[in-house]
Amino acid sequence: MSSRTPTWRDIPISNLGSTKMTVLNKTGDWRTFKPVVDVDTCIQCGTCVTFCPEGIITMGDMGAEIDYYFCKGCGVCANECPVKAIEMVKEE
Amino acid sequence: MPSQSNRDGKRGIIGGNNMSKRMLLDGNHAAAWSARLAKAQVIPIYPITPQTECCTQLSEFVEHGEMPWASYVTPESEHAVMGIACGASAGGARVFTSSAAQGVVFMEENIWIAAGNRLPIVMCIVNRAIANPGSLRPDCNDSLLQRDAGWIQLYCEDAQDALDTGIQMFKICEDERVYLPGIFAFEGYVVGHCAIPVELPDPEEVDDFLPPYKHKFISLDPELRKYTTTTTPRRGEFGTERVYQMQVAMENAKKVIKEVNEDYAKRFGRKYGNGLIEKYRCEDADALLITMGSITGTARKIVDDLREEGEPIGLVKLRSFRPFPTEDLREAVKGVKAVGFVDRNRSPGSSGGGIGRIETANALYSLTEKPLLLGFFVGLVGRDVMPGDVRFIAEKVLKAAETGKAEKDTYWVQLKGEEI
Amino acid sequence: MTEVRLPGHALCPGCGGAIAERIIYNTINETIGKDKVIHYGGGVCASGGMRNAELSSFGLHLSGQATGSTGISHALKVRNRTDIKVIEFGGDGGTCDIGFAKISGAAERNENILHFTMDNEAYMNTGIQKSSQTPWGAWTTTTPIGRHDNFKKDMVMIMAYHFIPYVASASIAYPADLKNKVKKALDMEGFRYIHVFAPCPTGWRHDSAKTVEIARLAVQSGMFNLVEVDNGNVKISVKPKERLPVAEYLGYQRRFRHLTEEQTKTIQKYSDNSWERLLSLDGTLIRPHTN
Repeated sequence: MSSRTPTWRDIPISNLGSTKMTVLNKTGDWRTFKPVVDVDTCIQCGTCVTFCPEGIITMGDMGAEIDYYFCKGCGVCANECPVKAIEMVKEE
Repeated sequence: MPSQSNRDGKRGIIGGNNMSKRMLLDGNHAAAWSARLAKAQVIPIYPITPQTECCTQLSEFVEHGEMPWASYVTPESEHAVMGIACGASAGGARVFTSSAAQGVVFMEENIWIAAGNRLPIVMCIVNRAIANPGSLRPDCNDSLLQRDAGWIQLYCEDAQDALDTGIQMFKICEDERVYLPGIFAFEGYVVGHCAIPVELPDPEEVDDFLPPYKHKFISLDPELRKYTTTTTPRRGEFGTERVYQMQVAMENAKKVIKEVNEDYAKRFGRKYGNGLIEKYRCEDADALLITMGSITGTARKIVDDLREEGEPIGLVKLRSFRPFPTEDLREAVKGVKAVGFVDRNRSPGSSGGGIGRIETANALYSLTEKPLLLGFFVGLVGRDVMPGDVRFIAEKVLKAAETGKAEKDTYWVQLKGEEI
Repeated sequence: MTEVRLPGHALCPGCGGAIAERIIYNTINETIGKDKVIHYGGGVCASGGMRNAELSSFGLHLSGQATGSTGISHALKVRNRTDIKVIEFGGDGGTCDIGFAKISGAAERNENILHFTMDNEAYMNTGIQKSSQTPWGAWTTTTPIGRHDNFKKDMVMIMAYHFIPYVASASIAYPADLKNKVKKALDMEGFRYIHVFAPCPTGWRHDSAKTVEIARLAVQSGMFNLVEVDNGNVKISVKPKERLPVAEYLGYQRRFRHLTEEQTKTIQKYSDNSWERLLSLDGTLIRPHTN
């Protein structure tokens, strides 16, 4: 992708073209608190995976894994965890 | 399957599968036939006087199986009509619809969206005066209102014109240099309900003239969608550029309308001037009338009468309002002393006269030698335009050409009472 | 689970709609595949994640609910591409207010669309203004002393009385129920309507961590009932064993903190009566011409 600003000749004439660009903003910058998983307590039930609004929790071999690049720190995962394995910790 | 659609038998209009080359059709039925011959695929349409006949004729064509490629939709309002038209066009179908006055104003939001999304929808506007003051009868404000939205606008003189222009409009809008939606307009009742013998082109020849619709730049088909991701926040501020692209498309449309006009004339034998304007008896004219729509027909007769009397007057039919044929008009007024624009529309508080006069004044402004430009309000809110009115206009323009002075800029031709 | 909707979008932290979108998109992907869907979206909160979804999507404008998608479905029909399904997301504002006539029209014509309403009970994207789905007593910027003109109109029953093949209400707190309803609806033809309860931390003024818990409390206290009208057959999806008092649900949300005891009693009555009415409809047939 060239670094010059696109001109009217470059941009597509309509939004409805065949290329769809999704923007992955670094929403991890939004948070004040971050969820920390205690893998010993985690029973890998998958509740946090289901309810994360961003969809950035995956179930690893040891327990839930969170993608902190995108995590907005909402706290739903910590609230819903049935065994309270996730704690919301203030960011440094 | 023979059609049951002979309900207009009392007017002697034959619909249905009768593929005879000439039929007695009024503007509404001609518009419906143009959609049928152009093989419009999705037809969302809502009835409003004076367009109702077009709406119902199309439903008969589709429901009786005479348009097996098409889907007829009965939305609950005109706003829904244009929303559905946008969706269908984006989804890859050729779309036709029609409306008038209040309906057009109701769908205004989606009219802009259609043009901005570059969807080649064709709409037939059966001109009717917008309330208030409104009427079931015609004036041209409903279609002229769209002048800033980015739709192509061609005006039709009679039912034959409506049929031909309707078919041509699909070809113009779907040209890859254009991709703008298009309006072809004619006055309700005067053209919409006035039946004349209309020659219908052969359907197979129309298929050859107008290939199936496939938008070069738009597709919603999931298997064609390419997804890319970026971490650079997209500002999306390409509004000015998009509008400029529409301007470029309008300039291209001037060429395309002329090309389509020529091509159509070669294939089907009917030509409409150069596509943008038609000049009638303009050779060494000192005075010119510019008309749009059905008034042109009356004006032709008046020009003939005056020419007989030795008066140097000619007529320009403005077929295309958008794109406005600036270059063609500048060329047509060379050597002319006075021009009168016959405006069947209103714009209270305007800079001087009706919408047509305003656009023409702007088009001619930068000429170092330009004629006097008079504006004439006639036929407003559906008042019938009689030959006497057009004669009055022509005489005023001739007088201005003779004396080199215009009495005034604008005339309210049929006003009851004195102008201030 | 493959995520259809990628992260990095602009929805608020803890957004109920974001959770609903994920569940719905992923279910669709698992069932028919995201390449068999065209998604129409309008109303920015409702389809806020749509831009980040790897789905063929398209939007006109807020008031274009059910019209853009109707158009697409007709275009697909004439192009013989009925293998592609059309889904649509709308907010409570777009569906129940400005687009109400369009939704009603599409429903009475039985257009082949699956519509999801993301109900966050106000016009959230323009800054929390009251909609027809704002509950009685709730604060919004256009009902600063609480909404007192009327109660939330019952969209599920309104749509059910259009006699469409499938109407349901669903909640993010009951994801399996939502998944089943999506699967059932995807398998049908005609106009299908699913009303999804999606709490909004920003507009309801609650802790973003409580989004799912509040959705659960809403069902358990009768402030939002889960029901299905499948081909006209009414069936309550979730019957709480013990109905919780509404005060517990209202207590978490600062949009209700100005309520007096009288007003809370009114809301309790609303919940009790709505539940009684629903119980009386449970098991009956609404659609007159089929079973």
